[in-house]
Order: sequence, then C-alpha cells, then structure tokens
Amino acid sequence: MRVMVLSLPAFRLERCGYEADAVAGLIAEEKSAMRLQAVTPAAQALGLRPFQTATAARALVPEVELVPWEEAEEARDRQALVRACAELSDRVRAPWPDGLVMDVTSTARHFGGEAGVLGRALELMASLGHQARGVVADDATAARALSVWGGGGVVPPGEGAQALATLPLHALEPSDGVREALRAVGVVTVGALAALTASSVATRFGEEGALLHAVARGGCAPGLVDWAEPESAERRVRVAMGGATSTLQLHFVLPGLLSQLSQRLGRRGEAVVRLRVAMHLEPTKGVPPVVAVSVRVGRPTRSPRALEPLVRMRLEGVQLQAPVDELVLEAVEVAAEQGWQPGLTDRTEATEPLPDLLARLADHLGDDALFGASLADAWRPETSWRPVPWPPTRLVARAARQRLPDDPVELQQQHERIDELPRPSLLMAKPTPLEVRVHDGAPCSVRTERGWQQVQRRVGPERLRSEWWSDDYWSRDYWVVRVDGIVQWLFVTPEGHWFLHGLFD
Amino acid sequence: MSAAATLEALRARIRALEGGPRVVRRRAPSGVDEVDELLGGLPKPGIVEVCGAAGVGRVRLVGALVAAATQRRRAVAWVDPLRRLHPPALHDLGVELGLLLVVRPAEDGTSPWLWATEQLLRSGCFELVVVERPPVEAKGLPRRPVGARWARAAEHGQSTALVLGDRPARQLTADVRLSLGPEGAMVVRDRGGHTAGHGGGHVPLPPWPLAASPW
Repeated sequence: MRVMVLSLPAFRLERCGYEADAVAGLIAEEKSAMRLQAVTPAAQALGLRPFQTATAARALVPEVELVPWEEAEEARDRQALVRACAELSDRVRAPWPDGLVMDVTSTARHFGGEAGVLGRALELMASLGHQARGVVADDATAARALSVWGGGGVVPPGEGAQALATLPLHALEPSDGVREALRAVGVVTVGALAALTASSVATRFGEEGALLHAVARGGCAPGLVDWAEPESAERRVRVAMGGATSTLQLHFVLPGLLSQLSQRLGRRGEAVVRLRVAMHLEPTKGVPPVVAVSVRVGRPTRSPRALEPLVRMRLEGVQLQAPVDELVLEAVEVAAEQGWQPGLTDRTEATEPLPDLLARLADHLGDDALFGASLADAWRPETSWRPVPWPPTRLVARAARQRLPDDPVELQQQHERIDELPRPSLLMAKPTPLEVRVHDGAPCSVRTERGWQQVQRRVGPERLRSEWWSDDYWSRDYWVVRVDGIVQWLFVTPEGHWFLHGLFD
Repeated sequence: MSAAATLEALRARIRALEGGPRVVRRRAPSGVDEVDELLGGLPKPGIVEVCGAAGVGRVRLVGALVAAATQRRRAVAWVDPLRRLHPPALHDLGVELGLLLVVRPAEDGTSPWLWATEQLLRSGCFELVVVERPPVEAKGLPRRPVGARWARAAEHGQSTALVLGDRPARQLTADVRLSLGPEGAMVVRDRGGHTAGHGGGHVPLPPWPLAASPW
C-alpha cells in the first residue's frame, strides 16, 4: 500500500485568516487557564508552543495575535479539505488536526505517477490557501514523520527505514511514557530504534513500541490510521469501464450497478433521494479527471427500474472529453422508503409522476428556476410577490369572504388592499427610458418606434414610494396609458424622467 | 447527429413502420366563452400560438384560460424565459397561484426553455403549459423547427401548449394560431378546421375582470 500524507502546519490558523508568516495562535480554556492550542510556524520560531498560557505567550511575544479556537468550524473546514482531496483518492482521512492521509496505491497512475499526484495535491492545497508539505511512502506514520520533520517528496517502496533513520524519535509521535522509556536507554533517533531487535522492543515497550519499531524498520503499522470505510461507502458502487468512449456504453452497465446499489440500500431500509454519477476519466492533459452529475429523485426509491431512466436521461447531455475508466454511483442523499400517493390535483393523463418531473427539471435548470408565486404585502412592484417552493405543501381553498374587522386599523388596511390599483401582467426587470410629451402634468403622447403616438386613454397618477429607510429611496408617479392599442404602465420621477415599467398584456 | 438524436430518429422510423396508435385530437371546453365560441374549445393535445405585440392583451386571454383551469383544480405551468411575468396580475385575473408553476430557466446559450417546455408537455402533469417565447428577431429561438417535437410531447402527455409571441414563428407549427390586435382576436390558422364561422373577422377579447382592469 502506498499512502500520501499532507502536513498542513498552519492550517488551523490559516482557516482563521492568518498566513503562515503571521505571529498568531489559537487559544482555548484548558486546566483553568486560556492556553495555546496551535501556533503558526512564525510564532513557533519566536518560542511560542502549544499548551503555554495566553498570559505567558503575550509576555514572551507581545505582538502575538490570539484568537479563540472554534472546534466545530475547524472540524467542518477539515472535512471540506477531505472532500476537496476526493479527486486525488477515494480513501482520504484526517487523523491529525493539521494533516491528511490518503491511499494513492491505485490513483497515482491517473496523475502520471506518485510525484504527479503529490504535485497535484500541493497545487490543490495552495489554491485553497494552505501551506503544505507532502510525502508518499509505504506507511502513514512514516510519511507523517517525514512530512513534518523531513523535506517531503516520494520515498521509494522499501526505502522508508533509510529515510527515517536520521529523524528524532519524537517524529514518530510516541506516547510520553514510551518516549521517556526509550530516551532512558539512550534511544533518541528513529535509526537507533530500528537497530534494536523486535523481540526486545516488544518485551520492554509493549505493543506501541513494537509498532513504532516496525515503522522505523520500514514496515507498516496497521491500525494507526483507521481505513475502515465510513457509512457512506455502503451507499457507493463502482465498475471498471475499461475506456468507454460514449455514454451509451455506460447504459449497459447501469442496470447491474443500480441493482447492486439497491441491494445495499435495501439492507439498510433506505431509498435514494439524490444520486451522484461520477465518471473517472483516463488521464488526459487539460481534462478534469472526474465528470460527475447529480440525479435527483422525486420520490425516494431504490428500484433500479425507476432509477435507470433518470440516470440515462441525465447522462444524455454529458460530453466525454476522455475515455471513462471507472463509473461510480453513490446515493449521496437517502431517506426511508415511504411509498407515494398521487395528489388530488394530479392528472390521470400524467405519464410521469409530478415529483419525478420536478426533480428532473430542477437537476437540469437549477433549483431557482422552478417556483410558485406568493403575494407579498409590499407596495414596491418588484417585491409585491415572492417565489415559493412548488407545489405548496398544502393547497389552501380560496378563503370565504370574511366580515369586516372591528379594529379600525385593520379595517383601514383592508380598504387599502381593496383600493390597490391593478398591476401589469408583464413587469420589466429594468424600467426602460421613454420620451413622453406632457400636458398639465399628464402624458399626452409617447414616442414609439412608429414616431409620436397620441395617448388614447390614461389613468393616474398613482404615487408609489419605496421604503423611507432603504438606500435606494425613490418616489414615482405611475400612469396607465393606452398607446397604439398597447396598454402600458409608465412612471415619471420627480426630476421629470419617464420610464416604461410594465405592460397590461 | 448525436447518439440520442439517432436513437430518437430510429424509434420514429419504427413507429412509422409499425403504424403507431392514431392520435385522437379533440377540442376540450376551455371554460372561457370567447375562446370556446371562437375555436370550439382548446385543442387537446395541441399547440396554440397567440401572436401579437406585448401589451395587446395576450396575457389577458391566456390568463383567462389559466384561471379557468386552476378553478377546475388543474395545475398549470408557465415557462417564462423573458423573466417578466408578474404573478400578482395573474392573481387579479383569477388564477389560483398555488396551482401555478413558474419555470424561469437561466439562459445559457442553449435555450433551455425549449427543453423545459417539451418535458412539461410530455409529462402530462399539466393541462396547460404556457410559454412566452422571445421575439422572432431575438436570439433564443432555435434555427431548427421545434413544433414537431412539442406536438409529439403534447400528444404523449395529452396537454395543450399556449405559446405567446410577437409574430408567427416558422420554427413552430401550431395547430391553432390566433392573431391579437387592438380590434380583438382573429383565427389565422386552425388545423382542425373547428373555427366556427367567424369569416376571418375579429372577436373581442374576454373582458378584464374588475380586479385586473387598469381602467
């Protein structure tokens, strides 16, 4: 197995907005005092260390900037880094607060070898604003030690012991007890540990000592990194495509793959809500290694027959720029299967259930492209309605006419609503300037493409003002005019500029 | 030709050889007296093109049809690529907004509204699918005809498309084409020949409902 470890010495401060060369530290309450949790390399160079109290740190380096540690946010950012590294490996873990490890045994070839994948990883970290060092080696502990204490790079298979030999013993991050015990017998470098016999180390220093000894000799220490697949892997299936050049070739493997996924989900009593279809491409210069599409399912289901047409339809628009090496399906959102009952407004002629259609449209057009409309209590024409999810969870029957309220304010508000003038059916996103001739303050002719046209009929003005507290305060006098058979909604500003804002189509 | 298009062409060929089921075209009462009188009802399945300058009353006519459909508790989809539909006006026209789906695809150079309209028609989930298409001169109308695809989709879903436009678009082969002007509506094409003896004259548009009338 070949693993790559990325060491991010300043990650915990970089995510707070500090560069590696800034003098800064994270603090949190520990043992009744505010203590340093992490420091930047620059702060470390000035003598600051984790577990120092904030007071001591300020006394030592008065200009140090100390920020409170946000544990949950940091964990979330770390997971985001893990996700970002998914393009490098399908097995990425974050066992250290400032480091990542990933299995690159089978993925390095996609990047032109181990040096290539390491280069891409460092490039990725730099693009995310993190200083990083990386090592590819046979074992995670060895790679971690070399990335923190060594210079980084690729350690050829079987040469781990040689690379580690000169590092101090604490590069392998032993527990305090083992480190002190080894120091007591004069073992202070990894090379010195490797020179001991395995049986004597195991006898004197227990299981931990034996594991460290194995690493020091260039072997592996299984168990230091938990490679067990997370729960999400249960929801992922894959198949090698051997260089498929068309999405039509993917159609042949879909039924089998979906049925495999369905079986796995069935064991957990889950159904698919959203599926991710990832096509891993053969390494080609200038082409991203993975093309992924998301397939939303209107009604949660794990039926391969229901899922297959949705996936096929989604693949139709995909252009492959390189042959497909591997196809991966992952249920990224799941729910308990609950069945589905048609709504009262559903048509019997429907050839596709409404939830499926909406999911498909939202996949192609984006979530914002589909909505219902709800009236809003606002004078401003642009905000007099708002988009709402569709279909609404409950269709409310038209309310019966209510008796007039007793409260005079409420009564007044109701009258205001009743007296509100109609609004145009087409509203321009941006009002269009117009040339208008005015007589006694009222529009009498409007310049159109056919020249000046008489206003045949007009109603107005209706004065509308935006909210007085808004930054773009405006006051407009609106007129409804009919010109050349077209009913327009115009307004004039206090400066006398006329605009077309809508059409009573 | 893409693989999907080749497959679709082959399927169409097979259908033609096998002799697919005959599509029954009928006129269904629209719930709007003026339209029923003029056309004998809305073609179902079918495509109705409503041509006229914006502001001449196209939305008033179509809004009345949509209001009648929602009052029968039928869902309606409104595809709005020009992004200027103002739903409060539809509410004033009597449309129940809870039954109206607005589709506003972002323009990405591929005219996604064409695809969305086809899918909405094909699904059969909506009795009416309204589209206000871009003007004939504007970018956004496809070069190749889409009418045949939409017609097949409407047949599949037994739906009716109401297409609002400025002038007749040659890319669109409508079953019924209405021309709207200040004098009212006139039938300029009726594939089914149901036009009830109006002799090419204009008939007035449905009157404004009180709540929606600008006058």
